[in-house]
Amino acid sequence: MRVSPLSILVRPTPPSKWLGISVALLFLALETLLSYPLHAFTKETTPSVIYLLGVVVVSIVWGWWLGVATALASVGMFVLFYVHPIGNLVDSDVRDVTSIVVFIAVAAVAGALADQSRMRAARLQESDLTADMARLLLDDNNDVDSVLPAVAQQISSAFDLPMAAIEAKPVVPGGGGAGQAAHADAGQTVFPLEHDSTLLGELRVPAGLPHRQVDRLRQRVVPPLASLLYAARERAAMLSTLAARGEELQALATQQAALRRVATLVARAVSPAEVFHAVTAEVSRLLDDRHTTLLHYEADDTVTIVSTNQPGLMALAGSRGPATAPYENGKLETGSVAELVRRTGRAVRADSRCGADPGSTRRRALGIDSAVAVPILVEGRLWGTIIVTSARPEPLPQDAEARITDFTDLTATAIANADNRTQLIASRARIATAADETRQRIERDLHDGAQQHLIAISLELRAAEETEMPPEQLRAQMARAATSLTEVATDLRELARGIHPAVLGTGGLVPAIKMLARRSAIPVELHVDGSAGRPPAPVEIAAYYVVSESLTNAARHSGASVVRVEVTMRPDTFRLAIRDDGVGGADPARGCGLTGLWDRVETLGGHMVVTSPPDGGTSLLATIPIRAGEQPALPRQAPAQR
Amino acid sequence: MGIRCLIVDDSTAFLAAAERALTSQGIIVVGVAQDGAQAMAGVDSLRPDVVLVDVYLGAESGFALAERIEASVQARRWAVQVILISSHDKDEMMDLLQDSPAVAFVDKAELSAQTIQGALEDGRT
Repeated sequence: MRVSPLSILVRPTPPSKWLGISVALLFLALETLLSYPLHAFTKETTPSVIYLLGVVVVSIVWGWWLGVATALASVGMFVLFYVHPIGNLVDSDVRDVTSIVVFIAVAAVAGALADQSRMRAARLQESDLTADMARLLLDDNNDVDSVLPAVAQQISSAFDLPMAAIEAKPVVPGGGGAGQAAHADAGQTVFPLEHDSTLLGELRVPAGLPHRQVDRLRQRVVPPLASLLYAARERAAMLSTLAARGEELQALATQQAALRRVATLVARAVSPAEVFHAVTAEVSRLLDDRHTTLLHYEADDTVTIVSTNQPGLMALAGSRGPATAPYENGKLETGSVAELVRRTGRAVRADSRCGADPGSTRRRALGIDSAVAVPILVEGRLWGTIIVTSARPEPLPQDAEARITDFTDLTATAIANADNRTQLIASRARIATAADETRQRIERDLHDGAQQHLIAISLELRAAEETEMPPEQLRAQMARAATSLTEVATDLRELARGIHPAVLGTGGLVPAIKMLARRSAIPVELHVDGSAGRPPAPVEIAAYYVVSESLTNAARHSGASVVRVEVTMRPDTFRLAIRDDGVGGADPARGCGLTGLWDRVETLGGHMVVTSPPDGGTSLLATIPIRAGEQPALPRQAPAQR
Repeated sequence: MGIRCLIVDDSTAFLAAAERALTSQGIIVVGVAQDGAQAMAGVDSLRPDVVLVDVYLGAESGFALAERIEASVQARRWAVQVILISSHDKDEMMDLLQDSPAVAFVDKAELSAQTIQGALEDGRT
């Protein structure tokens, strides 16, 4: 900006009025002294013109009122020193009076022009100040508070203040302290900076400034400063929100990619061990390479380290009961996060920097600052936990638990899938074994029973044929052979029924169960509910064997007085409930027959539960779904003769 | 003179029928046994010429019993011969029969004094 010589004199804020009065007096004195020699040889009133210089200067620099005062004083001095006597003034030359009028007029006009100019200069300066403040506050800098001293410096230099300070106030929702006027505080004048009746901060300047400056500050500086401060804060908040969103999106994308990798492994049905290692590695990577350990809770309060990337534990992975912290002797130490998860079944976060409990003390000793443990729930049961520990001062992220939970869910799915696969394979093997055993039993029954009998009969008949014997002896031999043949026929019938009860095919489940009830050693109460027709043949056969085995078991072990059998047939479900009032205490895991029944029911997609509390009787509940479109068991074409 | 015979089988029905049939055909049935222990005791006390051993003695194996009887021959002064009998087909156990010290195999359904004599004569030649 170009600085004109006049602008040095015409400053936005005039210098102090006392300085003005002093300068005016100095001018008067010098002018009076200077006018003496001139007056001596001119004898004219011309020297009064000399006084005009002081009047103009004072008017321009200090305004018109001091200028007019100087003009009046100049006239007074002139009359006092050069018009003799005083009384002559009235009679003297009228030109002297003219000069008085001219003096005052010049003072007024010069002062007014200077004021105008000063006002413009002030506006210009204020605009410059506002622009500077805007540049500082709305710069790339996100930290508004750090630029406030520079802004205050701008204000103090623009207004020639000895000091100026801006104090930012934290934004209090509800706007506490808003609506205040400028006030004095500790020798300072305080201007509140407000926006929408919210106090954003304060501008502090020294007390005792001229009114003019205080007014300018209040009217021309504080409003734009408050608006700029508000805008700057909003901008900073917006930028930080955007940055946070960006980071969130980035973190989310990373998390999703990691989850996808693990999910792919789970979907490919790789071994659980492989999934465990992938989960440990991915969780660790997502949480800034922190140590991650996957533990499995054993039934005896010990743990197995399934997978870990913690150097001290890596050698122990896969072994139960490691003798190393934090799992002393493999036992869960009281207060450790693993123990807390086991106790509560919920995610646990621990911070060892505070707290005197054993867990915190232990963690401090191990150099662990914080730890997060999230449970792995497999089909509702607590299976294990993923533990992330940090030896760094900054805490684990707030959302660490939520992020780990995504992985525990996948881990649980992998475990459940593997369990189901194992169970399926075991079940298939049992079914195949059961079929083999059944064939073997039938072969043995046929060989040891019917075949031996038939051979015996054939031997007897051949002997009778070849040997001469009395007729009575021959008759006796024939009678024995006939009796043996009847026994063989009975054996074969029993055997055939064991292979498949004929009444089941012809009459259906209800007559078959009634037959079982008639043969049962314990009285049977049979309740049949449902008019949905006959269930599919595999369901009927499974139900028949469940009832048959249950009645046999009840007769052998329960000591019950009655067995109640309830059959419920619905179009979509088949339910079978068998309860006895016996001693209970049956162990489903031990009874081989029960396992076979369980396999039969599960093969059909059904579910079987046996409850047998001691002294509470035994109850068995089997539910088998009936899929639409499955052929119901139809009565077999009855052969002409059975 | 008739052949002295001990029958070993886990089926009582067969034992009764075979004893009657063979006796009526001139064989002297000196005793019957249902398992290996009874058979070994019978061999020592009854001095049979021939022991008829069922291949499937319940949980025991007739082949093993045949070997035990043969192994005990050294300790005796008289000879005992073993004939394996079964209701199973001979083809099923051909390999096992070849390694067995038994002199012959006879189908149970064809058991008679004649088949026993024939088997013994084949075994001697």
